Amino acid sequence: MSLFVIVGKNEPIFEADFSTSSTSTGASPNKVSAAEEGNAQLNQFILHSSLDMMEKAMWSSPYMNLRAIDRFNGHIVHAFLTAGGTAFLLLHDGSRGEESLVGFFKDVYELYVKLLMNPFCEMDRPIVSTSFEARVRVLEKRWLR
Amino acid sequence: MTESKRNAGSGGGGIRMLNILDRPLATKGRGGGGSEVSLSAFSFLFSEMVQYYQNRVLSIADLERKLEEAGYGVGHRVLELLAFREKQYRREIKLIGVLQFVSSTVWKALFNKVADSLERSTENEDEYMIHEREPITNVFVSAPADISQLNCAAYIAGIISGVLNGASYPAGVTAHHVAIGDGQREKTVFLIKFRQDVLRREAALSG
Repeated sequence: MSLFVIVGKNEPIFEADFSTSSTSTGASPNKVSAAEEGNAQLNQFILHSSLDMMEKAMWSSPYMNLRAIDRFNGHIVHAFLTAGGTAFLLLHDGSRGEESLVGFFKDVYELYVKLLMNPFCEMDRPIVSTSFEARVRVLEKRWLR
Repeated sequence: MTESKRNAGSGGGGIRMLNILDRPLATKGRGGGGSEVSLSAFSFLFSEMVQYYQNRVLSIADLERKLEEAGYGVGHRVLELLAFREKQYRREIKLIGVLQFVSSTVWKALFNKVADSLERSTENEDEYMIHEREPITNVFVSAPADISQLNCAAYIAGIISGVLNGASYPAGVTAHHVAIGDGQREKTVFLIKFRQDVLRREAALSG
């Protein structure tokens, strides 16, 4: 279970839910999806409430990796803030070590910078590139599994 | 005819469109990196840009504002790129650190030199100045007498503003001509005026 969100200066610009591990062909698909939906909303809520904690943390640490900034019910929110003020937030259950989280963030950061070098990519606008999403998912498989 | 031929060729698995995310990031220009742009190519493009805007504005102030806007996006990208390359996953959380990042790291990457000087204004504590004797944008520019106050370095002012705003140090940046020595020659001064909340925050953090 983990949720990854990129937040620009004003709004979330990218979102990847890693918990939906492809189509789970259960016996009662409707029931499962309802529970999952409730969970997804809770996760969103936790992530967005942690933004305040991030604003506090960002001026006390000179590092982009702000580490764990918030905890809720066994979930941990890790944050990584780029030089341009774009935040990568990852909500996870704490089963992955710090090293793999940092590895994931650094690789996503490189992807993000590459994406930004495209002159047609607008600042602080939602990221619509499908290949960006595909690559983020590959990184998740490499670092967070 | 040629089009269909090429398509058929790529269908055979020869040519593949390379996504920007697949390519490595541009390396440093110096030392055989090969990503340096020739001055003439830049000057040609820049002069076209100035002419384009000149036909679409009513005043010099508008023209400078347009150039600043064009530079703003460049600044934001330059900030992320250089921070990624050279800062080892650290951010600037000191005002003076950000200014030094601009006058040395950014200047080196864009112009292959550091800025001539970085000064704090003696009159207003929220103002800083970067001096540059010959900005790359002004090398081949001689403005006619009726628009002599135009400074094309407004484009660079926009870049600075993009870097500072991106780094959460919002500031207004303007480019000005200043006469030096006997008055025959001019240098450009970039006046950086930070927003009030930036200084308040800086004081709170250090205090």
